[in-house]
Amino acid sequence: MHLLNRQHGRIALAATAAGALALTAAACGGSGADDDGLTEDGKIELVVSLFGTFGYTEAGLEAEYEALHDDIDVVIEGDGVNWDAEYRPTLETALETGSGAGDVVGIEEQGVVQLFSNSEHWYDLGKDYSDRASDYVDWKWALGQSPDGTQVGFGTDVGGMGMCYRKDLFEAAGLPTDREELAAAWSTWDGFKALAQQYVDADTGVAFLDGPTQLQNMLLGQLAGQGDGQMYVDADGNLTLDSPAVQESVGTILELHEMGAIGNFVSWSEEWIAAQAEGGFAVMPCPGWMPSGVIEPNSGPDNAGKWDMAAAPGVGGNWGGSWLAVPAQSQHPEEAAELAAWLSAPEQQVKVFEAVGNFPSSPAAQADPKVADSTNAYFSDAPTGQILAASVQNFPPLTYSYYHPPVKGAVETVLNGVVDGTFAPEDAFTEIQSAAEEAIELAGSGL
Amino acid sequence: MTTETAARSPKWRLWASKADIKATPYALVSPYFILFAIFGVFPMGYTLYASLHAWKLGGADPAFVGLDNYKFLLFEYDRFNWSVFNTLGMFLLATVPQLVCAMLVANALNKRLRRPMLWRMLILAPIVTSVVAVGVIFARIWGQEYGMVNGFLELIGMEKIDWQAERWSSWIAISSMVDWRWMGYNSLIFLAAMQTIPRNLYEAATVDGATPRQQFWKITVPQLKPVLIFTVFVSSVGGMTLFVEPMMFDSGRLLGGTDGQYQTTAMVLVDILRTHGNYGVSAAAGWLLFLVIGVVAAINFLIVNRIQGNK
Repeated sequence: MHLLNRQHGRIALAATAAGALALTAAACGGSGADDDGLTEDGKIELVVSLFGTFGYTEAGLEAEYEALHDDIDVVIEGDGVNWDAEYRPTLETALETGSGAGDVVGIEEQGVVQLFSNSEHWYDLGKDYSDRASDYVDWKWALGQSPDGTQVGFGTDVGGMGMCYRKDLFEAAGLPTDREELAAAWSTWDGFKALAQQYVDADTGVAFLDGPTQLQNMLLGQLAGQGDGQMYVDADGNLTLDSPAVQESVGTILELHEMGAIGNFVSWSEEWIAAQAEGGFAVMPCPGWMPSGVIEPNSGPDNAGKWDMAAAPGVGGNWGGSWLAVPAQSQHPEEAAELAAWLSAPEQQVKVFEAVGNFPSSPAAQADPKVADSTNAYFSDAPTGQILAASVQNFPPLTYSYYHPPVKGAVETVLNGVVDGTFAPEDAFTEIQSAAEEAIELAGSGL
Repeated sequence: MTTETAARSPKWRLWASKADIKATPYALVSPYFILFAIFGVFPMGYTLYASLHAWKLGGADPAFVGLDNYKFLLFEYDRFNWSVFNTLGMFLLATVPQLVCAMLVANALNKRLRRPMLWRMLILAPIVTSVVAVGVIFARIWGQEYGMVNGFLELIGMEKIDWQAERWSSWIAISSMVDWRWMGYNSLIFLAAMQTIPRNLYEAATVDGATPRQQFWKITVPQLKPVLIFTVFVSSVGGMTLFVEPMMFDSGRLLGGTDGQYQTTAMVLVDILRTHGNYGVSAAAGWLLFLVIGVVAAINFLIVNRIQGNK
């Protein structure tokens, strides 16, 4: 349910290459229902079409809902499918052509603005469920709306942020290893830079940060949220690379790079995965789904207890998170809306958290002791529930432009290029400008 | 009635049998051509139509823009021209050694060996390996920090190389992947062809005192010419549409490194479609790629055709 979901990177890759096959399977819908959306024994069939790990199967919610509703047959499809490579293109095509989408579909944060931009494609959930706004923090509810104010989606999870760090490597460099002490020391970004400098000076031969892009995304989100909420592109599709948020975030990355604090591990690459097992870097920004979903399987049992998690610098952050929506083409939109509302309700969010660790977007669910008091044994029993809840409470709302994904990709590629030596740091802004302009031209008003 | 039928029947039969002789062959091959029309000609025509329009997913209705999409790719979008360069470069780097090795391996397998079937199966093993698995393994072999190749380099006292960062180094890594997968396939084709070469040619050459090396170059290679044309053609098309190997080398990304060092034209095409949702420009890239493949295949044919049967 995240851009490159919490499945092992490798699985995402396998999914990418197997794209054609899965695409066909997804497009065909695989439903046993006829055109009227009923099964042979007259039940209403509701297809829930998902990607990544929503956890509904794992939490047994399909059977639970069917037990509550005799006349409904819930079919969950697409678990483990890659969002960007398969799911999004398939869904976009289904929406454009008016058939082939599920009755309830999952949407990742990267895609909400693009996919929700046309309210004609969606059933208006606000008609019967506007009171559900109280289940969410404001920005999560608001991002589920189309530009004309139609409520298109119900939020499911959020990706609250913390910092995952290696205690052994911090200790070797003479840094504090206690999570409270660290959170206090890097509560500001100046504090973070000072720790980075101290780490680099110790010259342990191991990189401080994994790579440039995760930190860039977290920092930009914070800075943009404190300003006008806009990241790389404004609401009219104009680049805002001169904004203080972009200038300061990229500037910080370049500063850390020249300090020697950024490792050459491109996120989700094989080297990045190997580095987690080998202790190739000491710290990285960590969305809530990453500790158990990515780092633990990558690092393996040998490294249990070496990792820990502390609150992130600045005002926290958010990375990833999803929504459920009902396409207007559904045969049974009212029943589908009821199912979507139930699946995304706080009680179910808690069950999903218990099953697969997706962090709830509902404050009520976050306050549930099963979530709030949760700790992560692999991460030295860090109180992950508290850390993540605090990071989303403080998180400022952001405006995602229609053109955000391609421009973000262009910027990330340039930053990776600075770190691997392809671009000189002083050329970074020029390169970012031209790469972003090309992305806008291709995706936007140009050809 | 009976007599009438009997009288008419020869004429009717003659017509039917003529029609049978003329039409049946076409009817029998028609399924392929009908399928080809639906899944080959129609998509190509539709792509041509798309390539002449500004056409974006979720955008306004397609508007005719003439050759603007082509102009954009050729004169504005640097990544496209670089991608053609990268594709050609990797094609040369991968295909030439691949075919040479394949021929040498086939020649070795053509000798009397114990358990010839075992060796032939082993040679073919890479082709049945999942390309995703190959990509993951090769990404690790050529990794910068934890890669096997860099491990050896360090062992003999050399500097580590960031294989993904430079154009030449990434090409070598990707070519190794392509060669590993396809060398066995080509050598089996060569082997099959070698076994059809008449033995008496070699016997006569041996009597005349030709060394095995002379026999290889003067008998085997010229006799393989038709098969060589086939493999070169297939490798050209495969090499020019290279996609999965470089994509896997960059962990599934479509940009081919931080500055497009190993972005092939097929990757540009898919990137424009997937990341930017731009049907028009992507379709234009498809047609340009088609033209490039045609030119490359023609050049290769001319080169290979120069191998003379009597040399």
